[in-house]
Amino acid sequence: MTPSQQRALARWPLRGDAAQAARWYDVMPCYLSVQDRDLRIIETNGLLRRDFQASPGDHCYRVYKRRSSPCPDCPVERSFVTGSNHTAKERVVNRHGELTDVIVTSTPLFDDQGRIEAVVEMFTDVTEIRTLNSKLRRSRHHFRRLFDIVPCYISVQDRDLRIVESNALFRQDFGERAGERCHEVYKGGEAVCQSCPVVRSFADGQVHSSEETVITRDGQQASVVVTSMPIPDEHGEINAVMEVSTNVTEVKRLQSLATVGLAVTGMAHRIKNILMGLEGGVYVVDTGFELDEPETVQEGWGMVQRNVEKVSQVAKDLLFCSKDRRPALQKGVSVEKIVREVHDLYRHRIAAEGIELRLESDDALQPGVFDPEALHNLVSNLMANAVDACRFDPDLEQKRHVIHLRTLRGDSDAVVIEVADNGAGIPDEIAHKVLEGFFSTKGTEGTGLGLLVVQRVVEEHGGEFSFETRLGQGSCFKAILPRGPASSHGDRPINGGEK
Amino acid sequence: MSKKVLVIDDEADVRTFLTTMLRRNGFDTCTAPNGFEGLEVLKRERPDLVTLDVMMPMRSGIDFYRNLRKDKELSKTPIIVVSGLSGRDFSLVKPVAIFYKPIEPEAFMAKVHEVLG
Repeated sequence: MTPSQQRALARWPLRGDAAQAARWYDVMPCYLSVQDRDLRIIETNGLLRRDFQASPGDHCYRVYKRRSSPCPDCPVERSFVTGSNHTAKERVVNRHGELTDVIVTSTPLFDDQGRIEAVVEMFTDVTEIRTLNSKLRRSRHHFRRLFDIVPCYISVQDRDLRIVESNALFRQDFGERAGERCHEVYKGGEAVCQSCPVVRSFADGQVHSSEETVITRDGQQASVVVTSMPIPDEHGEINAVMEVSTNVTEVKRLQSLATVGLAVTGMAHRIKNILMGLEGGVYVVDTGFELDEPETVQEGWGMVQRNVEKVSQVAKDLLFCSKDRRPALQKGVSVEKIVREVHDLYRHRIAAEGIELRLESDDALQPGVFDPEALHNLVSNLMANAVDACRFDPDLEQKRHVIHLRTLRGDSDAVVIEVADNGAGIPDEIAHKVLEGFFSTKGTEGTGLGLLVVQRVVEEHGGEFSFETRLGQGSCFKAILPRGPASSHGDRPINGGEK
Repeated sequence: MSKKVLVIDDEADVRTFLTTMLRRNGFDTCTAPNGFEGLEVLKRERPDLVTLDVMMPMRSGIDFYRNLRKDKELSKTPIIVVSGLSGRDFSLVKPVAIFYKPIEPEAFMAKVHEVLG
């Protein structure tokens, strides 16, 4: 030890009560040493003495690292140069030869003239933190990988619905969109989606879901089932929501293929049945000529006509159900007039079967913007169903069957069309299936298209469709149609003037 | 006296077709639009043969058959099933023949002649 070091050591601690300072110094739960400019240790605390073989006069690098020269970027040296604190991460070797990760902080000590006399070096064992950190890193990596390999679109969103984080599939199909709002990414739209599950999860802290149609970055439409889960922070507050979207486009496509299969089968039966009516009609006409019975000829011709009409109705219904059909909305269309036309068409035909048809309408119903052909089809289909409900009513009391055809004024200037019968009614167990596509109880007489057409037309007009039924007492089908242009289809062309 | 055939079918056109065919071949006919009325006509008219659509609404074809079997005398009446849907299970009914729509007039009449001898 040089004389100057001995002097420094003799003056240490520089201020305050020496014994007190030494006690503090000894109990500190970290390794402490005071070093001179040569990086020689002047003083050590208890912990350092216990775990490292350090004695005053030893070089710091020799004690901690068993090196023969100072470490590169030594914080103590830097404190001597700059006069301020420095930190560094180091790996040291304790007296048992164990490697320990430490964080080193060096603090200069000044003498009365403000010169740096010594530097206090303090280091803390962070091996455990290091281990935890690497464990954390590994598990983060693990979760990240899971996050990325899940075959769903996953994003974490903030209260503003901005994407904070997203998984690989999301980025693959929608691009790197961090910071953008969910609806902009998924739908390219300005507005938040109706009943957005993420908004709902922020509001009530519950899991929500919905079905949406989104557009991928290459312009493909995809049907997704969206589930949103709130992510509470450590205080239980929800500042983020995780959104998981599963692409069900393929499932939907298969479903619709199955439906098409069902529809084709139904259609085949229906057409076969009509064909039989046609063949039968021809046979009856032939017979009438052969037996010289004009009335038989007439009867057969009636069969031919009816079945031609039936097949043309099937074709019309099919066209109505086709995807590309656009409603031909016109101004000044009177719903009442259309209902009256259907009434006139059916009145004579069903009178022969003992079914009475009553026409009712509210006074002074204003014309509106409708697709007249579509409405005609809607009323015809409901009429045909009502007639069947009466025709096939197993009521043994032989009740008098009546069908009410009503055109009424609804709320907010809507037009209400009601077709009510007192026929068979629909059993509870199948009532819920009635509005499903291609559902029919009529065997070869039905294609299951009728109510599909009705619902389609109502939807195109931005209206509502419902029904009530009681087994043995009859059914009432009701379409509410707003009189103005349907708001949801406002972009659709409207032909001016009355036809 | 010519033999009588009861035609039970919910479709008027099918009834007309079948009765015209039968009439043209010298048979008397009577008709019913469902199984419930069919039973009444059967009791009243006592036909020699019944053509029955088993796939009528409200199961009236099946009910007709059940009721027919209950009556010892009536149950002897031979039945030809006429059905719109092929591949259905007719285990409930033991007809002398089954025809699927559309019906081939020659084959149908040949069967009727055979049954009524």
